[in-house]
Amino acid sequence: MTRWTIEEIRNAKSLNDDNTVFDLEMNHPEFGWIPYTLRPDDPDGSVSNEDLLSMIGSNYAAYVPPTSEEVIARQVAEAREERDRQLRQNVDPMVSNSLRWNDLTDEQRTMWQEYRTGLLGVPQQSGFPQNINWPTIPDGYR
Amino acid sequence: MGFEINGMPVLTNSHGFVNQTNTFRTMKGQDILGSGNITDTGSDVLEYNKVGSFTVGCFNTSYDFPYRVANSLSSNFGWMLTNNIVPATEIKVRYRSNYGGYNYSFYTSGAYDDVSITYLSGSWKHKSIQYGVAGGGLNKPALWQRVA
Repeated sequence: MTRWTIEEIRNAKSLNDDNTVFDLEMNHPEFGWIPYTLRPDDPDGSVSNEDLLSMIGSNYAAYVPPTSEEVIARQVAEAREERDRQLRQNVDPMVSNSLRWNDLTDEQRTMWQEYRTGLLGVPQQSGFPQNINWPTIPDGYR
Repeated sequence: MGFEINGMPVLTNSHGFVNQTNTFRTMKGQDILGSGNITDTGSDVLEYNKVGSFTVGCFNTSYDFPYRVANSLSSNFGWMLTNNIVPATEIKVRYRSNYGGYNYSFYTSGAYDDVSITYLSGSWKHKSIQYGVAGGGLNKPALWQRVA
């Protein structure tokens, strides 16, 4: 296994309260300055995390936990991504394909319409974005 | 026992390589010449999250753009270029474990209870073709290789 000696780092930023996880940039012998994530449970030993930690010392940007507004904004974005993904991957190929749609029974069409309506209404749920009751895709299609 | 290729000794009776110009070439036509032992300097890629290993994952956030090339048409859009290197924290790797008996990469959250998150370390190179990433919008799965 190749072991690289890192002699320069910069822009270290703590990512947790314990200051055990960092994002930083290191001057890599092969790639030059590249970003790097240091975790204590890293299974790879090609770069010495102990050496990196001693180079970091106390010279790092303190961990700043996300604000509640940022957490919610992220949850909203992720929930909308998931809603859009299900519409795009599940609903669109079914309802926009007349051959497939014509093969469905009335009961199956109703299930698909309810599924689609449920997805569109996800952001209007009272628990959105923390507690979402995701509509279930019609049987046999998941 | 020695070994020859087209009449040219390659391995000697003492089991050593013969240092011959034009004997060994790379696929790009460069001679491989030298002396000393041949050592394995590769990484053990049999273990996930070591240098050399691959993963499938998406960008971790829709809000930060430091590792994307901005698009002039929209401030809310950027390009993720092939061979771009990002820190592990920028890659979102999630797996579903209860789907037909297989684990497979999954890139969003919240919809299912059987989604687990994998935390990676190090530096990862984007190995897929260039793709666009919209802020707050769709994140596409891509292939990544750990390089440091």
